[in-house]
Amino acid sequence: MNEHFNWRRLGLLIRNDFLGELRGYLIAFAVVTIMIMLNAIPGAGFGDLKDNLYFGWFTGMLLIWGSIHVSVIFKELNNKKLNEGYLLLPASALEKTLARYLHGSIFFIFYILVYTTLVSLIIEGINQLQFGRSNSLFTPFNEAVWEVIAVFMIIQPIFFLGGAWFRSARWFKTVISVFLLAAGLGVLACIAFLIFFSGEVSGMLLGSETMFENGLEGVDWSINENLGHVIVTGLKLLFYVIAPLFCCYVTWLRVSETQVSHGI
Amino acid sequence: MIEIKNLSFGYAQDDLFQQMDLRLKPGNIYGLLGINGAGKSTLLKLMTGLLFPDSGSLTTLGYDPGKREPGFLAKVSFLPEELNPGNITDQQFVYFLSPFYPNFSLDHFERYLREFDIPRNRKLTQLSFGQKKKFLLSFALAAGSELLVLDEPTNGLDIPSKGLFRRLVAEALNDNQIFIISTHQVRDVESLIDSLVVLHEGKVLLNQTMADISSRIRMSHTPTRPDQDAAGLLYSEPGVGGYWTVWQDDAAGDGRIDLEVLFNTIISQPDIISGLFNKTGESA
Repeated sequence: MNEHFNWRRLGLLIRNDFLGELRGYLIAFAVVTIMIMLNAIPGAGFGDLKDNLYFGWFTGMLLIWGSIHVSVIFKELNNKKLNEGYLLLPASALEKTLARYLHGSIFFIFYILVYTTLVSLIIEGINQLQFGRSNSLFTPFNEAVWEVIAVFMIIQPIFFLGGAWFRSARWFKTVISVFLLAAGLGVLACIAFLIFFSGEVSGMLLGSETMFENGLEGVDWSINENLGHVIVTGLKLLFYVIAPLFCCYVTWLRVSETQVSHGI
Repeated sequence: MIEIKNLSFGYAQDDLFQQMDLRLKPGNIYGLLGINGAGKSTLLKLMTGLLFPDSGSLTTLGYDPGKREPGFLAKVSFLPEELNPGNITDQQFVYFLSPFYPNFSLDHFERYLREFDIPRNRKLTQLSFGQKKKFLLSFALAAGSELLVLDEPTNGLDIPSKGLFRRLVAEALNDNQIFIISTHQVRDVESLIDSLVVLHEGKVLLNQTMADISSRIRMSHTPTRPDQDAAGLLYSEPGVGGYWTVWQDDAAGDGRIDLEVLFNTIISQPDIISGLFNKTGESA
C-alpha cells in the first residue's frame, strides 16, 4: 500500500467531501438564485439592462463565498469533537490536504462557473419571454472571468492555510493576519526602497513626482537597473507562485502534525 | 504487537508517563484499568497516533502511529468515549467510510446491527447515545481491524446489550488482532478480558494474563474481618455480607477473580504487586 498518495483514496475523499456538502451547496445556490432573480428580472422589465450583472455575481460568489468556504474547509481538524474521526480516517495527510484543496479551488470554481452560466441562461430566458429583452448572458470564457479566477487561485491558499491554522473565526483572523503581514512587508519595502534607491529620495520625501503618477514605472531604474528588475520579478514570483505553494505546504504540515486534546 | 519503550509524555507542566514500557501481543483482549487521570485515554490516543510521545519509542502493528500512514489507519478502529459520527444517515456512514477499510465485511456489519437491534435508515444524530455506540461498535468490529480500541465501550449500553457486546467482541477476536478495552465498568468486561494492564502514577503497574493472576492470587469472601497480619494477606475490603480478602498464593489455581477487588488491591499495594509479578510491563 502506498502510504503517501493513492488516486483511489484521493477520489474517495473528494467524493465524500462533495456528497457531504451537496445539501449546503444546493441551499446556498437556491438563496443566491432568488437574490439574482430579484436583481435581474425587475431591471429587465422596468429599468436599464445590465452588461455585467452575472459577472458581478460570479466575482462576488467566487471571492467572498469562496474565501469563506475555504476558511471552514478544515472544520473537523480543530474541532475537539470531530477531529479524532478525521485524523483516523485511513488516508495520508497529503491526500487529505490535497482533497480539501481541490474541493475548495478547482471544483468550487467549476461549480460556480456552471451555476452562473446556467442561472444566467434560465433567468434571461425568462426575461426574454416575459419582457422581450434581457440582460447580457454570463460568458464563462470571457477574459475578465479568468482574471478573477486567477486572483481567487492566489488568495485561496491564504484562506486555506487560515482554515487549517485557526481554531475559530478563521476568515476574520486570516484577513487580519494578511493586513498585518502586508503592513509589515510594506514597512520593510519602504526601508529597502530607501536603502537601494536613495537617489530617488530627498529626506522623507520622494524626489520624483512621477512616482506618484506612475507607481514603480516612475522610478529611475537606471540608478540600479538590474537590482530593480530582480526585485520586481522576485516579488511577482513570491506573490503568484511561492506564497500559494508555501501556504499549501504549511497547511499540509498542520494536517500532519495536529494532535487531539489529551483527554486523560 | 504494540511495543512501548521508555515512553514519556506530558502536558503543560506535568509529566503523565515517565519511561513507560509496555508490550501487548496479538490474540488477546486487554483490559486497561487505572484511576481517573491515570492516562488511560491518553495512552490509547498515543497508540493510535492521535497524540505524539515526547520521547521514547512506540510502535503499533509495526508502524510509527504518529505518522498516521493509511496502511496503519486501515488496521485500526478506535471507539472513543464521546461519539460524534456526524449528521449523516447510517447508510451514508457506511458508504463514506467502508471503502477505506479493505477488510470491512458488510455481511458482518448487517448481522451486528440486527443483533444489536439498531433502527435503520435514519440519521445517526437521531439515535440514542447507546444506539450510536452500538452502531459504531458494529462498524468497528466489521472493519476487521488488527487493533480495536474501545474507550468505555459499555457506558450507555442497556443490560441486554452489555451481554451481547461481550459475546460479539469475544467472537470477533482472531489470533492477529489486539483488542484493548479501557473502562471503569470492570464488571461489564470481567468475563471478556484475558489480560490486564493497570496504569498507576505514570507507569504500567501490571501487565499480566488473567490466568497468571489467578494462578498467584486467591480471592475469598469471609463473613468476618480477617486478621490483618495473617501470612499472605494482600488486601481486604468490606463487601456485602462480609469481607473480600486477597491472598498471595502460588498454588491458587484458577479461582474466580473479582476485577474490582483486584484493582483495589493493586492500587493499594503497588509495590507488593509489582514484586509479585516482577515482569511489570511485559505480558507473560
